[in-house]
Amino acid sequence: MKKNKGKKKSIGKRPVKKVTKTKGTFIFRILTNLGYCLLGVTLLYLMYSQNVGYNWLYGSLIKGSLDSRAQVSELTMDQRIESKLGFDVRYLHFLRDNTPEDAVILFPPVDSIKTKKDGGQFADNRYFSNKTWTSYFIYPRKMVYETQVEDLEQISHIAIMNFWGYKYFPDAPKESRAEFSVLPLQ
Amino acid sequence: MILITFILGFILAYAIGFRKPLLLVGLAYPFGAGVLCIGMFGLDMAGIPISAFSGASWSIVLISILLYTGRSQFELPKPDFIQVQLDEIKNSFQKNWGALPVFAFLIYVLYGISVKAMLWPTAASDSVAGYDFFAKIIANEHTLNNSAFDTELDYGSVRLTYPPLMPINYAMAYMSGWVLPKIVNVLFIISSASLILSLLNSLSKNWFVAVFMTVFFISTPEFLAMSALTLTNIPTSLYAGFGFIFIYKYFLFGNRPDFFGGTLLLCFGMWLRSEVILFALAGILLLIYKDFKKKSFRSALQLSIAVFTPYVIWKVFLDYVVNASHQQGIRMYFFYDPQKIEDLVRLIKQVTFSTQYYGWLIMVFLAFSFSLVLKFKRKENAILLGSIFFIWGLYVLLYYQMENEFGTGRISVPYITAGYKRGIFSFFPIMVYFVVSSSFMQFFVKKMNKWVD
Repeated sequence: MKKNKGKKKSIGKRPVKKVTKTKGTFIFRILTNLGYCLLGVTLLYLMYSQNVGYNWLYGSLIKGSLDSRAQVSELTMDQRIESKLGFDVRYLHFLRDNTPEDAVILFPPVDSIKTKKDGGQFADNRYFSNKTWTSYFIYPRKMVYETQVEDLEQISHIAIMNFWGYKYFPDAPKESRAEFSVLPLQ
Repeated sequence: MILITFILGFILAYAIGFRKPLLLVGLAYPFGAGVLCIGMFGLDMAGIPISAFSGASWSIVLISILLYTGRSQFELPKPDFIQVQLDEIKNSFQKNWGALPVFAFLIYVLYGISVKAMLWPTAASDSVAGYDFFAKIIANEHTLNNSAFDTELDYGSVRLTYPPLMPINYAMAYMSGWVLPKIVNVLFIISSASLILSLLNSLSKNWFVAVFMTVFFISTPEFLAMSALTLTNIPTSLYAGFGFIFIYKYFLFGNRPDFFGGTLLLCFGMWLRSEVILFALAGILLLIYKDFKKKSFRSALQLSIAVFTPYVIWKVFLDYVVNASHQQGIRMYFFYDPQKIEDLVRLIKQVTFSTQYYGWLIMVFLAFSFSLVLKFKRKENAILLGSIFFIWGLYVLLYYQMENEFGTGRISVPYITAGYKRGIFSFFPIMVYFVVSSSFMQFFVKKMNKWVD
């Protein structure tokens, strides 16, 4: 019977190969990583310069947001959304700030709201025709269209838009009538 | 509250059996948000108001239960834990420092989009007249059975009837003192990046490939732009896309954490958008195929129950609790309308192949699909590719079956240029996963790995 003198048998374990790091592999690794750097930067540059979508994304959306960060931070949240959605939201914020939370506000029929197209100030009367959209800005106040109302008992306020709504206040002096306002219904 | 949600999801992911740090970070918030939604829905039905307090209590109770029941699984970190992690990072850095510029760019992109999201209030019409508004109402009235469904107020917005995962999580953000709920969207985009990075790194064993493909995925112009808005598309893409990837991984390797992870993601996805069912359906078919020889369809059955239950519960809530059922108007029978097919194909081609919307992502995916057909054939690649086209086919069929344009039978252009355009985000994680797993890419990755080893 042969005996393995001086050799230990390892059971269940693979013999571990010793990896010797040579100067060659070290340099090769550096070169490969430099290649990665170059490849990564080149591919990103190609994406940015050759595709209009990536160009807009990196050059305008991301960079623009970071560049305008300080400027936008100075604005209040209301001012920020007003700068995006214009007079429509400014007016709705005015309603919100000048009525109690339980107010029920009467709105004019949508087609009587003057948009910029008709020489008015509102961007789009399409917004006001979407009751959910309008209610978002004045919640928890409730909005009701004039066309939906049979009696005025449930109404607490009238939204004055493009001078519409003064028919509910016939005694209001003409010279003091504002184009946009909100008035409590007695 | 956001932090508690994150911790809850993190512990749940850990209890399921995930151990990779990036995977845990990527799953933490999506899991937490899903569990929070289900909990708040249940508590609300039991008459307990939805509030930051009830949300925190529910989460803390669940965290305690998970820690107690799973205590045998939770190993305490060994004393040399930090040293081991540092060594791993050092080793990885030595091998892959070439990926650093691209990684820095990924951080820059994520930071930039987070700044954009957090700076600007909700302006997207779908959210103003939908998810964000519903969240405001929940935060104010502390119940899902609220004035959004008041017939006298007659809001009539379809989006108020969508499943409540996003509104509940937005409401939690409001109730925890956030002025804007967009932190939720920021966390979803960071989670998406973290998940894809982890999955691609496991797949390629090459940080450069993983990081670059993550940037490539995240930088899809329309995808990233939408992630700054309070919309559901990015979270849906996470739940549906990654949910399917985990089920596919379970199909290949049979690891139970992948099955549970995928099932949970698809289940939570159903609490967000019902279209996630298409991805779940493909997953169920994969599981049936996997277990066909064994004639035991337990996994497929478990997944089916997990995804159909939320649909049924929400439908019952809409129909019988708030009486606000909404019919999408889908024809439940097949029909042939050549004009509709022509319009649909034209619009879908126009949107799908737009490099302005999706950069080069879809083109690269198609090129790699073609490479599979040409030479680099591998069964599992073919199954993944087949699944993508199967779900895509169902998705297009859904638009064909929709009764658009108020009963005229014609295609509603915005359905495709807005709905379909954002809906295909859910395919992106799977497409990128396919590209990296394809034998064509693996051929190059193996060569690259040899150079740095």
